[in-house]
Amino acid sequence: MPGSFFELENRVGAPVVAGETRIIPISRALILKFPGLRGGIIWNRPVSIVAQTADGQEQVLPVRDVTRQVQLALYGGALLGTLLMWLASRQLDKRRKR
Amino acid sequence: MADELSLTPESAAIENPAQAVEAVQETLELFLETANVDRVYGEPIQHGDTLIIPSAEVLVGLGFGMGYGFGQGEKEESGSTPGGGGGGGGGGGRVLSRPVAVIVASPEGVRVQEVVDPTKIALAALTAAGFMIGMMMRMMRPGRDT
Repeated sequence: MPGSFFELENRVGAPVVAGETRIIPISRALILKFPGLRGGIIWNRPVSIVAQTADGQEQVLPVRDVTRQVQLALYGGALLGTLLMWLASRQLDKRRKR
Repeated sequence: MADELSLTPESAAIENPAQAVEAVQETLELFLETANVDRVYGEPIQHGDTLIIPSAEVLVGLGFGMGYGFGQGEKEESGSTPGGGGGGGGGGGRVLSRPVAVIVASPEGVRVQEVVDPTKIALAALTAAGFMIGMMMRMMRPGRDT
């Protein structure tokens, strides 16, 4: 693991041949090292694939993590909803006091 | 896809320091290999005209430490000073892996089929709903200070 505490790197894998198409997988790894300690965390996930056809066409297909996207949307929605409710309840309180 | 980090009971019982260093080195090498592309893309599976490549997210955490100490006793009548030392170490780690998508290459073309985990989504929905209901009840509580 090179010097820095935090690293984010894209890695390209060996092409896989499927008929006349070459599929090149790409992943992204986040590498965290604990300062002063031995060890760390590696989070590696697929990012996209490049599909190259025999006639020279190239297509980049993203690999989406739908489960993660839905989870984040739910948590974000809950936070936003709570914030809006809090703001609305403050407005109501102010009106009642007047 | 990345479950090679688990130590066998034989490798957990290490009798000499050189073995320990070797075991740590091996574990670290396996740990660093987790960042490679082949850890998230599985072996292609051929099924008739269709080629399937599974892909997963991999999260690995690893930590270890070691220490040693030496001590000396009181000087004996013979003039020699008895002494001794010892050391030890330990470590731990965890590998989490979750399928993300499947790449399907067929004569019709290449497509990425996402893998949706309804259990994780349901748990997230329950957590989000619980958080919102809790906060709402707190806001509606009489005598609150906000």
